[in-house]
Amino acid sequence: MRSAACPSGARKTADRSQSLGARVMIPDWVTKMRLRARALLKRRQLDCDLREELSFHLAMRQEKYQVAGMTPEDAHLAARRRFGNLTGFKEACREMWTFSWLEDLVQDVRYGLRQLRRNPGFTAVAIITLALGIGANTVIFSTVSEWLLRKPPVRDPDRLLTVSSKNVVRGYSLQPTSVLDFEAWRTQNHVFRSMAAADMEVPFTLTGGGQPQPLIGDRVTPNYFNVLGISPVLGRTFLASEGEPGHDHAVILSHALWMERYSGDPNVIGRSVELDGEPYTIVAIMPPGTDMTIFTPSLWTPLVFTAHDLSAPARANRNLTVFARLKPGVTIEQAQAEMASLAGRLAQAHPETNKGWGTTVLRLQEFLIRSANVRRGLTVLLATVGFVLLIACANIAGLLLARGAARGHEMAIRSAVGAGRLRLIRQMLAESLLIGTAGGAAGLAISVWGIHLLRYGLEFNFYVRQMNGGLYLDKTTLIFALAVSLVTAILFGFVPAVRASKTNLCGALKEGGRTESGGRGRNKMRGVLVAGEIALALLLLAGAGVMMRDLVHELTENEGFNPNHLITAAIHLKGRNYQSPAQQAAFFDLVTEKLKQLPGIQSASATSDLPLAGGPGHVTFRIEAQAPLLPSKRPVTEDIVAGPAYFRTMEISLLKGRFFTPSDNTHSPVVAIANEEFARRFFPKGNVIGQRIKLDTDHPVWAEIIGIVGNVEDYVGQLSPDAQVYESYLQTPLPDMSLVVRSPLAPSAVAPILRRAVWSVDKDQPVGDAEGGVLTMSAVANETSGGDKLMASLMGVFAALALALAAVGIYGVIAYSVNQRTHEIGIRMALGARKGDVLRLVLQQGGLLTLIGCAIGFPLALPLPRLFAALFDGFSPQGSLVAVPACLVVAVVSMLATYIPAHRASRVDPMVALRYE
Amino acid sequence: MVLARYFHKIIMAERPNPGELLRDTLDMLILKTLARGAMHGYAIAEFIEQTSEEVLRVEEGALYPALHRLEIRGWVASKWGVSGNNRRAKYYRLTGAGRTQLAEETQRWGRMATAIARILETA
Repeated sequence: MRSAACPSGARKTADRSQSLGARVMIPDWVTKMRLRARALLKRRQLDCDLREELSFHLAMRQEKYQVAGMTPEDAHLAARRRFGNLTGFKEACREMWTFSWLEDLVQDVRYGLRQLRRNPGFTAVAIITLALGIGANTVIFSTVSEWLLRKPPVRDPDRLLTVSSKNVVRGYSLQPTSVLDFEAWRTQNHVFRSMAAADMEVPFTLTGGGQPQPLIGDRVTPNYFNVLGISPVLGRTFLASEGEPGHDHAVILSHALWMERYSGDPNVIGRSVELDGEPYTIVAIMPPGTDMTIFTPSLWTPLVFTAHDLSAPARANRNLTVFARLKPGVTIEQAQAEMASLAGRLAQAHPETNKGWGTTVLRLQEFLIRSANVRRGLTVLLATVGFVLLIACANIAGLLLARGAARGHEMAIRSAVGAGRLRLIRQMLAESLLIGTAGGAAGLAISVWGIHLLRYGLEFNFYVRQMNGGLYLDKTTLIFALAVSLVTAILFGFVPAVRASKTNLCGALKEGGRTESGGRGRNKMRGVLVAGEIALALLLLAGAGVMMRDLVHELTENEGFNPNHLITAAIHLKGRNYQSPAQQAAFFDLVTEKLKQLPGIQSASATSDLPLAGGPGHVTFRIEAQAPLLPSKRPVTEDIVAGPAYFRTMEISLLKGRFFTPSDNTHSPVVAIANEEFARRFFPKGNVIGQRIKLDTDHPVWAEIIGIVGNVEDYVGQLSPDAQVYESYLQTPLPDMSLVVRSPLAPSAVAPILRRAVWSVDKDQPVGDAEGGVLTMSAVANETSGGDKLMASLMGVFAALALALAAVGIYGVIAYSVNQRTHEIGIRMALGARKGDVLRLVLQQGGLLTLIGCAIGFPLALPLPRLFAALFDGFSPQGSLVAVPACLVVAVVSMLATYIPAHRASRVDPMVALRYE
Repeated sequence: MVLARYFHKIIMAERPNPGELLRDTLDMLILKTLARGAMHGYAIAEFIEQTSEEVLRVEEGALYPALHRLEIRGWVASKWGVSGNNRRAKYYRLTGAGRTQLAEETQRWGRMATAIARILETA
């Protein structure tokens, strides 16, 4: 100890004293940190100084004893005795100077790494298990981050509100509003600094050069961008004068459209483009990233209020989304109260259009989340992957517990030489953190791939296509993954660490490394974990089962028409050529007549609302034979406009009366066709044919019901049919219809035929719109049911993962216990137990765990259908019995996992087993 | 080998400092001793033992963690020098902050001793 070569700089430390003395005013911790940092850098120096200092003391003491007459040896020993634990004190001094926790940590990590490398099997299983759990969580969280957590791209988003119309009786909470209501709100409120309105998602056609391009645009009040606080990258926002009729031919392009169509040319400002056949001047380009989840317009034009919009009956036409910026100091609650009282006044002043209508005032972010309607689905998915992660944690905890038992001897030695429990726990936790970090990193890699896959799954309709662009591993998601890794590491590491540190010194050391008595408790703990895993896996499996059952139910239900071999395309007639209803009717008449002539086309027609596409709008109506009612008391039905050949083309069944014919036109009495549900609901006596009704549309007329047809589903999996009334488009034409064509040809062959037929009538008419081109009916159905399919398949994948992990878990426990009991099994066999007995012995153990798990999981799974029905629209609350097959699957899988080690146990050679250890 | 070192480290980190019980008192005694002038560790030990007439006989080693702790706190400063018998020794001296601290400690100790004495007398 004295011989160690001290660096020559030893004397330099003397300088410290001066500087220290002079700097007494420096805060305690600054000095400490400085000294410690220095100590960390000059580790050797410090050790030498310390050694020299202490040896000086001992030498002095020894000298004194020698002077008193002791032999040098005795004096040396006496001095040491007098000094006490030299190493201990030295260490205590060193401790003062160093960041001991940091060094300990480094040491813990280094030691942990060595331990993990020494057990590659354990390490691999733990990391893969965790990676799967964290990967699944990260993928789902990326959607949460994008759709629930991301603030909308506007200035001060928390003070930007939306005001929507609400009608409790009809079940609307986020309806748009009418022009007149918006004007009343805007002029009469005292809580908003400014209000803007937008007619969202208007189909536009960009023409001039090449094929007509269908686009989605927003028509916005000129102050829209000022209210939102978004500035263009080029040009200017709309002028107030551009909101006047006749001055509105200005257009602002989205960054994406600018890049795509004009390759980012800055000279487009001031250039003219043709929109719906009319010239518009490009006045600005918006920055990238203005998309708000489902609202992703390609362009904006000024919103003009026409004389019709401002007429009293137009109060019932609600199609404006209203944005409002709060005045400074006003709270959202005050705004809510103010708007509620305003709506109340309007309902009193205009009962025929506004009775029952209130307002919903929300922050923009909340409005977008509710409009996209993703929160509940994401919550269920997040809970699902959370459970998967819990199962993964339980598995790793189980492995660690087993390893803790195997390391009992090591722990005993450590505590024998003085390691405290805390120190042991810390060491074990360091190992867990290493697994957590590695699992997290691997999980991130998996999630990159998973998010890619998820985006691929989010293609089934226009909105999700628009929404999936924002899905990637963003910063929030990364932080989430990191936090989850650390939390799970502590979650799965803590109990095993505490257990492992609880060593029974004497026992463990005496037994000379053989399994010690703590084993039983550990096994019990592992059993509890595995039973919990089985319960969770059962719950997830039942959840996925309920989802899938509902999906199958949806897909196999009678839609009310024949969806096979049907091709459709949306047509939006725009511009001067189609201003009169007669022109609109003529267009669809011409196109369908043309299509019918073509080879391979069985029949063709047009409709305002395709089945399974989400459902037509509702209107109130009057029945001639019944006493007149106030508008708010009138019955409600769905209203569909269709061509004469529509029912034959769709193969909708006729129950009574007749279909429309081409002679039901403007020269003949107005007629209507009702569906079965309409007849049942409003004419229970069965006298519906010949009755006259008047729909409260823009041009209400009395129409005679001439036929009853079968119910048609509005969306896939509709639980109960709605009342439907069909009008003939020859009598009430519309500019926006969908062509439907029945043809045995392949869809890819029909699409060009359909396009050619349309273009032969009008070469500038786009076929299909920005939301979809020429589609098969099943693709249309998939637009509304695709989400359910994705949800069911995600739940299925996660449930399968949970089941696999639980199987690994029970396998691990049983295999371990068989391993531990090899000696015992050997004795049993030597005493005459047969293979079957041993097999039964082990299977019993697994069976008990499975039974407990199922007993916990089964009652939890029973209310799942009711839970989902409460969360999701159109979900059947029946189907609790799905828990039974789920239980069986779980039982079979876990017994299979038990069988492998049980089989191995039954083949134990008694001789080998007895020699074991 | 590495493992052994590791264990060693664990033991030492966990073991309570033998001087722990007397820690505050020992700190005060050291400061008081150094108030007489710079001294090395051995001299401090000798002084405390002799002055207290061997009543306060702790393991001498306990002195050093205490000295280092006081140094980190900035109450004492150290400097290498040469001792009477021509050996290199580390000398400690009281800093300004140490002097203030000593005054405070002495006062508190006095108050406490009085209080304890009062209790013992009345009881």
